[in-house]
Amino acid sequence: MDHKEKRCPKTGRIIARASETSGDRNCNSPADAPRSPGIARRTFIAGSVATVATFSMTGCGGKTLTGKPLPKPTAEQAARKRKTPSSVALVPCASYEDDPMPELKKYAKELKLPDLTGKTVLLKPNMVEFHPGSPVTTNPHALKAAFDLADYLGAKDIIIGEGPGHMRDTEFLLEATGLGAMVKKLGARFVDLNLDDLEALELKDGFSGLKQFFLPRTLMNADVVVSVPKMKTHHWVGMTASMKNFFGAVPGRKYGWPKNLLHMRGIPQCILDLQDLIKPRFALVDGVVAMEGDGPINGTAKEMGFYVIGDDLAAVDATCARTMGFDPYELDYIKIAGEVVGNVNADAITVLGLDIERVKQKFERPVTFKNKKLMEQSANQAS
Amino acid sequence: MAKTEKFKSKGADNTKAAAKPNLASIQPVLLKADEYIQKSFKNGGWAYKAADTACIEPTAFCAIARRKDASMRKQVIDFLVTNQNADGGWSTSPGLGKSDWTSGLALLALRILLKEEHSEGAHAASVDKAVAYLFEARTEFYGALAKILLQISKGDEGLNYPRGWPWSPGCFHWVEPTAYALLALKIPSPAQKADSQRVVSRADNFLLEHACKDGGWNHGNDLCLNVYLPPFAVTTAEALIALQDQKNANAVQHAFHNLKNTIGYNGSAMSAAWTAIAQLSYGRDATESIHNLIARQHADGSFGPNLMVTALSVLAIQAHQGDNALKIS
Repeated sequence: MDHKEKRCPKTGRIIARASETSGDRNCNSPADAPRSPGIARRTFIAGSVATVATFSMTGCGGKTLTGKPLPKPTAEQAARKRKTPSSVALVPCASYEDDPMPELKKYAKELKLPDLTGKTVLLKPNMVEFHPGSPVTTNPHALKAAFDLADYLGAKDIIIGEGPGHMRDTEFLLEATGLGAMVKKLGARFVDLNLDDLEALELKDGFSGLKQFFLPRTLMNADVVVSVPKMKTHHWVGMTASMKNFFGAVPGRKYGWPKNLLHMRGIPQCILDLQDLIKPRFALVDGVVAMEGDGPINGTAKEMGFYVIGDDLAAVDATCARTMGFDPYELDYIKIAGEVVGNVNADAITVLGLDIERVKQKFERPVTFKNKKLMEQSANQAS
Repeated sequence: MAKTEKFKSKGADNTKAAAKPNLASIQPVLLKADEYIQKSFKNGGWAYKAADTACIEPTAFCAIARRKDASMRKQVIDFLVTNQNADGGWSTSPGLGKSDWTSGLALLALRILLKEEHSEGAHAASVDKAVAYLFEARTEFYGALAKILLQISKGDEGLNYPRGWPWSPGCFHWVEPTAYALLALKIPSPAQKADSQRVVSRADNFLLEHACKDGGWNHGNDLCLNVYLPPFAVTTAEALIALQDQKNANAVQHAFHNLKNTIGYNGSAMSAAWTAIAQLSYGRDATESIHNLIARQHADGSFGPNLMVTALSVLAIQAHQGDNALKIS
C-alpha cells in the first residue's frame, strides 16, 4: 500500500486516504484508549435516524441539495416576500487597490439604497477563521467600501460587528485578517457579536423549529444592518454570500464555536429565520476575489473583479450564484428565499453594471455536489 | 495566490513583544490586572465588558483568578448557586435560555472556590446536581437500537465509545466545551460520583481521537470531507490542559511538538495566556508565551478585548509564579 501523503494541488492540504476515514486510527500509546467500535462510527452514523431527522422538514415542496424534501412555506411565511421587482448591481473593481466609490455612489442612486441620515448602521463582514493567503474573510478594502458607502448615504454612527464562527480569538483574527487595522483606520467601533449582551427574540412561524433566538443587542439596536460578506462556495449549502453571512451574527457565548445548533436545525432553515429576525437593509458582497472549491474555508481564490450590491438579499445571492456558474434554484436556501425573502427568478431581477454573461465563471464546486453521501455526513461532521 | 488579495497582515507570526520584559518585574503587571478585575466586579459576577450583564464564563475565570479574596469568593459562590438552573446546569447568563456549555466552567469555578473556602460540603447538593447535569449533557450519537447493535458486534467495549460535550444541548461534541467539562470533573480533585472515571475516560478519548494530523486540535473534528484540518492555538491549549493526566499520550506529545505551528500561536493575549497555562501545566518552559503576554497589557491593567482574557492572563502569570489554578493534581 502506498502510504505517501496526498495533498490537494491547489491548497496544499493533506487529503485523507479512504482507509483513514473509516473511523479507526492508530493507537500509538497505551495511554490512548481503544478506538471505534466494530462498526466504523462515522459510517454508521451516516445511515442513522439522527442524520435523517436533521434534514427532515415539514411539508414537501421539491428536492434539496441532499435529495431530501424542502419545506413548503406557509402562507404567513410567503407573505414576507418582497412584492416588487429587484435590482442588483455588479460594480466593477478589478483590484482591491482600486477605488470603487465613484461606481458605488452611482449605483447606490440607481438602486435607490436607503437614506441613512441620522441612523446607526452596523456593518457585518465575514471574519469566520484565518488561513494565511486564503480568501476566507471579507477583504479590509471591501469593508472600507461598505463603510464609505454607509457614510455617503448619511449614516450618523457606523459600527463594525462580527461574531467569528470558528475561532473565538477575535483579537488574533482582527490582526491577522487586516480587518482590525482597517477598523482603526476608519475610526470605527468594533463589536464582537459573540460576546455582546443578548436579546431574546421569539421566533414565530420559523423554518428551524426554534422558538427563540438569542441575538446580540448591538445588532438588534442598530437602525440598519448591512451584510458585507465574502462570495464563496460552501460545502454544505453550495455557496455563501449575503444571507448565510448572518450566521456570524449568532452569538458564540450561547451557541458555541461553531454555532452547531444551527447546523443541527438545518442551515437553510436557520439562514431564512435569521433573515426574518434581523432584516438586513442591503448588502455589499466582496466578489473582487472570491473562493471556489471546498469553501467556505479550504477553497481557493477566484478573481472575479466586482462588488455585488442590492437591497434584496435573495436577489443579491441569486445574482452571485449566477456569476459563479450555479443555477440558484439548485441551492436550497436560495430557492426557498425566492418564496419568502425576495426575488430569485432572473426575470424579476434587473442586473446593473457589469454584464453577468461576460463576468460569470464556472466555479469549481465543492466535493459534496458530486458525492451526496458526503453531504449527508454534514450534520455529523458539522465543520 | 491572486495578485489582488494583497491586504494581509503578518498573520500568526506576531511581533507585539518587541522588547523582552523583565520577568522579575512581573508582579506589578499581575497586581494591575488583579486591580482591574477587582474594580469590574459587580452584583456577584463579571461581564465580558465591564458595562454589560454578568455572564458565567468571565465570572468563572475572574473568580478563579481572584480565588484568594474571601469576600469576593462568597459572593461568587452565592451568584453561581443562586443562578444554577433546575436541571443542574447554567446558561451563559442567568435567564438566557437552557443550560449550555458554560455549565462546565461554572462547576469548575464553584469547586475551586469551595476548596479555597475549605467548605466543599457546604454546597454539596449544587455540586452533585451540576455533576449529574454534565453526565447527562454529553453528546449521544446512538439511539437504543444502535446501542444494541454495537453491543452485539463488540460486546461491552462497543459501548465505550468516545463522548464529549456539546455547546448546546443535543448537539455534537467539540473540543472547548469538552475541555471545560473535563476540568470541572478533574479539578481540584476527581468528582466523587459513580461512573465518573468512565465518563472522564470517554471524554479524554474524544479529545485524543480528534487530535489533528499535524499535532494539536482544531475546534472539533480533525477531518472534514476528507481534508485534514489545521490546529488552532486556543483549542490546542485547552485540550492539553484538560489532558494533563494523559501526558504520555501520543496526541499530547505531538501537540507540544507542533505548538508553534498552530494557527494563532501567541498571536493575541488569549492565545499567549492559554498556551502559557498549557506549557506550565506540564512543567514545560513558557517564557516565550509569558513574555508575549505581559507585553500586551493595556494601560488600564487589562489584557485583550474583554475581562475573560484579562482573567486568563492573570491565571497564566500566577501559574508562571508557581500557583497554577488549572493544574490537575
